[in-house]
Amino acid sequence: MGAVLRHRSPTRRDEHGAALVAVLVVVVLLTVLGAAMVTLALTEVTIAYNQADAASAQAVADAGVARALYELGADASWTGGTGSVGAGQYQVTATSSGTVVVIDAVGTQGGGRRRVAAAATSLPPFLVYAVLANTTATLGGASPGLVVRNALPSSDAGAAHASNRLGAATALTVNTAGAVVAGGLTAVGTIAGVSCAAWPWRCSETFGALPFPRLDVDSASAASLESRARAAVDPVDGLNLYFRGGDRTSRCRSGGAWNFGANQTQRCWDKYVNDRAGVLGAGMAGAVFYVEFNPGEATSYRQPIGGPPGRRTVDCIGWETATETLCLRARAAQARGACAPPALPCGNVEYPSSALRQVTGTIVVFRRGAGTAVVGDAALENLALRDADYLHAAWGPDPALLAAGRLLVVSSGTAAAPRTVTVRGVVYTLAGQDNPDAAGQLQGSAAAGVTIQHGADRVAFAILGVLMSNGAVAVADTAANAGTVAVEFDPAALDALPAAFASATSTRVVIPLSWSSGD
Amino acid sequence: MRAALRSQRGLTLLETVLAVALLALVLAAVYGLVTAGARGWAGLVGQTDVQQHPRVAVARILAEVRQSRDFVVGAGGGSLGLVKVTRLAADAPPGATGVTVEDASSLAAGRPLTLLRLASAETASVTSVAAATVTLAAPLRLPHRRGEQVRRGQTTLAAVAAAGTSSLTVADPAAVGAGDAVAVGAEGPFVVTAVAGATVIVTPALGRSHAAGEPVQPLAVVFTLSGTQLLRNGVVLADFLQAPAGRPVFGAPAAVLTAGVPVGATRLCVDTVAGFSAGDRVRVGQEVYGLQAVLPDRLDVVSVDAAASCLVVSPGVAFARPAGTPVRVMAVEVSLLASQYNDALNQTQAAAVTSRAAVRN
Repeated sequence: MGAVLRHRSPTRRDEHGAALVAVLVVVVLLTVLGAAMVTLALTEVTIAYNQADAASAQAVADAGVARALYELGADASWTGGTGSVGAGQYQVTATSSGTVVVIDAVGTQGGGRRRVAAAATSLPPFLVYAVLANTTATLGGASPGLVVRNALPSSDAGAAHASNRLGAATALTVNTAGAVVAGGLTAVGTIAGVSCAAWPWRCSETFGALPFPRLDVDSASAASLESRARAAVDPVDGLNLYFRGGDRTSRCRSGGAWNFGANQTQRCWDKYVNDRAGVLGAGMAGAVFYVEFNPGEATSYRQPIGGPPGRRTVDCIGWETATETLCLRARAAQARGACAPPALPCGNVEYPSSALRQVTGTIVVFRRGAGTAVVGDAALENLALRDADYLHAAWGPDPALLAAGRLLVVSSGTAAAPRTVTVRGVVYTLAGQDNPDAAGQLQGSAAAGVTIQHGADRVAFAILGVLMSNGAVAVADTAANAGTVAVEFDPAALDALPAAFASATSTRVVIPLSWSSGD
Repeated sequence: MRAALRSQRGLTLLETVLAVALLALVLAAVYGLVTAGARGWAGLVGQTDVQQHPRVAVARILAEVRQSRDFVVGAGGGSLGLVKVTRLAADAPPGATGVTVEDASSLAAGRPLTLLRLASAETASVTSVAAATVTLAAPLRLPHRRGEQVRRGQTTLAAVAAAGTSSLTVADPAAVGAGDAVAVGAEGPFVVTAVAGATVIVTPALGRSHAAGEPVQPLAVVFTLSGTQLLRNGVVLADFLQAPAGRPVFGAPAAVLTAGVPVGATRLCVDTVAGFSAGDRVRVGQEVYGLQAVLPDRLDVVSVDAAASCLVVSPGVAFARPAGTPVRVMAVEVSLLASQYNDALNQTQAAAVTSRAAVRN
């Protein structure tokens, strides 16, 4: 048996082994090939899934940004959240810095993850107008040359709004012969001069009144404009920025060269401007220049000069009889008449650099009267007299110019050379009434708040920001010449908002600024 | 014992022939299976490869289009130039002499940059760029916030540039340098070959005339189809590509006003309405930076009056626009056809991809 077994093995190997090997080789080959194909197919499927997940994650992240834009419009305090779109999820955060909101959204789906970052400007609905009148507004006169524009890429942006708080027959008047108006027009009441049906932007006569928040101008709070001016220290001379003739707490009566009486607030201001060579606010972040005239105080003042006649009167050209009106000079303060005889000390130009050239910060003209009455106008001297350009900008949360009464710009004649006069920021006037309701919203004033009648040839006058008044606003170019006047909405003037503005409404107009997917 | 002897018998000839024949059949079947599998494999790999080329290239281009602020499509649609933007990574208050950005690759030392927030713009000269930190030659005047757009500054034509000329007179020659790719108005891309004083020499020559005041913008990225290669700033991005029959590689509906329009106009008559359709978002004009940025109008096309070659838009234009002002759909359509000879299949495989993206900045 053992011999048989010994013989059977080689016999079986010879007769059947080759087939087994061949089969095994073929099986192995087919297995390797099949496995490779399956692997490739699976890889392709995985790639396809990954691409689909990535695309879905991108779309989900975009949805997160869209959600943030929507939520921020309804609630300015919204800071983020999570949500899902189909099988995808997003997590979005909103972080504010000034009026800019940065939105970060991360979308995930399956194995896909994408981040989308965006930024948007977020403004209260009443701060997306070039002109905002709490009563009435009149834009344009008989002569062309006025432009009122809001070119913001938002259907909510407007050129002008009139809340018509006192119920005038006409809320907003647009004289298209004298004004080029670009942007929406909204009012509480009649809009005259244009047909709303044909207006190419939003136009509504039943829009509803917009908030007009009261600012803290003169309270005892350290945050009020007056307190900040009193507490400020000009690094040049160590004195504060509160101007009131005869007041020993003011720089005007602080001693030494600052010895101005109760009828010389304007002269005190002229000296300060002169000392700074017409450039105010340099080196002082968020400077507030607070001017408070004494009751009934004239803007013109008597200037002492050596020798007879002893004193001469210094006027604000065009506003010679004005009272409690800050004169923002176009040229150096000059006494009436000529400086003659020449043998006399020529005192008619006491402050040769008292014309403003540049201001960075806030100029306030304000005195609290009886009840809700407030007093103090700001007048730009006849712009045709300007011997240089003027730029006034305010980048902080405060207005560029705040007047308790009116802003007055009345100009005529021809400038010696082409000039630009630009105020960049919020111009805010109370038209003589600081009359908030329980919610802190001003209720309108029957008086004029802004009067701009610009007829000076070769002078381009512009307000870039927001022109807003508790009273009536009237802006016109009064002469057909090379002079122009423009009020254009500029969101840069609203980089940061006063607390009263920020809290006036919880809703916002949200306008996208940038988008980045990180690709 | 007999049985053992029987088992040791060899195969008969018939058995051997049958076995060989059977094996041959099996091997032939296996060979056919393997060959078919291999061909299928090669075809799959080739097709995947040929599809990946245009798909990846188009995805890359459109991602950059979305990130850009403006663009120009070259003559014939063979090239695309992008004005890229980045974003401020941190607030920059007035007085700051440097900014931090998310990506400084489009900025350059010695050239201006512009910070943009809606209609607000500030331009400053860059002294150095180190990673994401950009140092400026002078302090900033305006406050700037994280998230604002930052782009390389542009200049404007100081004089009319006639069609066919290569010599431009610009307002700020520091904005461009030799080797830069630029757009002139809505035309380009051009390459700056020399700058001498206020004169900038570009190649190729202008295809049409441009008015004084039109922007001359540096282009951070230029895509060009050169032969079968798609180049990004001269570097090969993908190969084996061509324009599909009857389509340009890069396309964006564009026209110019045939007549000036006043503020508020909602009917824009243009030289062609080809490619425009209702629902398109169009830009009228181009942005120019001064104390305030003069931005293009961004309008929606309500309807297209093909007979009169006019677009009806909403809302109205906010700025008066002269004849010749560009009117453009701010979206780029990219079409690429990839074709590759597959040796294994002994045939050419092809795949076409067409996709579209709008600028989002």
